Amino acid sequence: MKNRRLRLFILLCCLPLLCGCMQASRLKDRAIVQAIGVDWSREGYRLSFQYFVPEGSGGQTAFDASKLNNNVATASGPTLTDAIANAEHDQGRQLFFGSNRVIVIGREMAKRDAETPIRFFNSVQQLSPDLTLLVAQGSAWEIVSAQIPRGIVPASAIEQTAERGRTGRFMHGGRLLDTVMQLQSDSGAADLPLISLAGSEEQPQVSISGCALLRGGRLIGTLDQQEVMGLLWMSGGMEHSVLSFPLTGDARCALKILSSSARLRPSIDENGHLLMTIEISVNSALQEVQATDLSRQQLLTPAQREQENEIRRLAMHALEKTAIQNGADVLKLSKALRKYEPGFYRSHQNELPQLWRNMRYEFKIDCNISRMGLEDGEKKR
Amino acid sequence: MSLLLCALFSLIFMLPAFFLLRRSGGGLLEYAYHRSPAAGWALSALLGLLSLFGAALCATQYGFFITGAIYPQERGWIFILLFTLCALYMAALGLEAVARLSGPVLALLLLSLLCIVLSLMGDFDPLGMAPPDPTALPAMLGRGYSSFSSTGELMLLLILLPCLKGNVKKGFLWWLAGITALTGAVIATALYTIQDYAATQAYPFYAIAKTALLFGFQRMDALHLVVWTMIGLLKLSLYLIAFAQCFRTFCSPKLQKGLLPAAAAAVILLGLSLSYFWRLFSAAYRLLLSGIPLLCCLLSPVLLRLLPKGRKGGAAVEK
Repeated sequence: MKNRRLRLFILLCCLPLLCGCMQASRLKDRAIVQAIGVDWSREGYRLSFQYFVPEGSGGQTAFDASKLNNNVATASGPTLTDAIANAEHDQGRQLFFGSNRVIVIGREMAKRDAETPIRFFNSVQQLSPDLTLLVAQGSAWEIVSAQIPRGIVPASAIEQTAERGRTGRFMHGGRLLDTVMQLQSDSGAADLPLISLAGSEEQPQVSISGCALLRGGRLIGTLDQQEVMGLLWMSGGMEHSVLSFPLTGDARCALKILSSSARLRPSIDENGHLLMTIEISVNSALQEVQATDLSRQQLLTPAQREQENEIRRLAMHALEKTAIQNGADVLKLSKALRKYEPGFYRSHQNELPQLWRNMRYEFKIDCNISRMGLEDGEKKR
Repeated sequence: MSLLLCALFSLIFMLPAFFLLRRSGGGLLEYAYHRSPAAGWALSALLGLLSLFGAALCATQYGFFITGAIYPQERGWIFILLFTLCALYMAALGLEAVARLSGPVLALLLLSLLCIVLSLMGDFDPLGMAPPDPTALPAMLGRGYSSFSSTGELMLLLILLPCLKGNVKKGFLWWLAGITALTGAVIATALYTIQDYAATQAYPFYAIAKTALLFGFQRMDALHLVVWTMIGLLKLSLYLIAFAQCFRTFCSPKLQKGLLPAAAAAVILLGLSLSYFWRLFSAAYRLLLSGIPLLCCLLSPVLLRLLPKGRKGGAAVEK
């Protein structure tokens, strides 16, 4: 028993030696990065880091939630690793990316080569694959350094905007994981949300203003909001969004989308040509009707018909801009082809962009309005 | 597909061994001594060294995982050292203790995988899996063979066979079916959710565990890390036990006590060398994937059967 107690005592005495096998890093020696901007300059990569710092707002110790607690560090280098090392050297702090939620790539950088920084940050072990990845309309530095008066740090405003874009269905993709998946696929094309600076100089804001189209790792074009909506319809991600369109005359209606799904079905016709059928199924609620004397029940059939036309128009615009004009497959057309027509896929594997340009597209859109709202009856004159 | 091929290879190469060993009523080493004492010694030495090789690779891979995915700034030696010492402690407790621990670890593994899979369900995409490409059959065969070559558990099973109770053949089939189904489920989940992203990561499931969010629970990478560390420890301790089992005939009962610490010391030294010299690790890993170490073990009963039975056959087993 005594021997056992002695052993236990010796073991307990050893505990203080086990307080850390690794080099400790104090919080004040670390810059907790909240947003990263990647631009291209004469010196090479120009990185901007927005990092959390309580003194940034003039406070001394604890942060003040009513102020923007951040600093922005900028550094350049021939490689991204050099730029990070230079930033650490300039700031005298170790950059910590574990809390980073946003990466913004400048437009010039994206035009030159967006894939290298994306793949680099994908390999940084501290970064999460579900962080938000955006392309700036102008320079990334503008976005990262903008002192947006929302949240504890401006980066949270960027993240909130992206999150709102995701839930409000006006943003397609936008996660590092999604973009890497797209770049890694056979098509090598990807789409990234475009972010732009808005508001005044004193009160800057950011907004999602479309989508950047990448092919071969470079920016080849941009999509406007209407085209982004078309992409979203074809990828089946339009739940909880709103769709408004004109009816006959001045009448207009707005629908709340309750659920939506989409499916790609490639097939080979009798002439050996490829036909891509895009099946979209939507269930919506009639939310608002303007400038019409008809009751909601009377509007049901024309509204469903016009909704179908509107979705077809949006989807066709998106297809024109991505697959047909630019040969960029951001809708997983190649995956659908590989799954449903594997033989055709294998024989045309090396000419996919031409295939997207030349193939026929057909839409099968099934719109159902299942909720009519509480208002009923014709308008009395 | 390559997973099924791996299971098929395992079955094909294990069946003759099971058939021959059943007739001898013991394990692989006992059978070798039964055929000829010289062959028994040679095979014991060979399998002992192969166990050491497998153990060192296991410790090195764990070191790579920790320094690659979690602590990239740190040196790997501390992890290899601590990992091997923990495995040594487990091995010193005996095979039964290791086997008893593996039950809760399996339950924890299933739980962690279930949590990660459920959290990924939002990303489910039916286009993820494509039908197998018949022109890629040679590549699939190669991948299946590589998976089979790195299944060191088959060698451990043959060495530790005398220590096992019950219907071993039936247990092996259950194990093979279970491991194939589990790995298949993990691969299918990856294909249907993260798809091509998996190819960009050395540890794709760990990367995804970082993003997992289920019922408000975050940071499932911590759970993932704990489970895979425990699995690594179980595997390494089994290799150490197998080494001791192989070399005990060379030592007196007094020296046998020192076999496990000696094996652990060798694993640490070899593991550190492999982790420091990438070329050495690469060569060792290529050797493992070539299947030569595993085939040496699995085909040895057939080769021993061809040997004429020694005059002193069976004496060593008694000893």
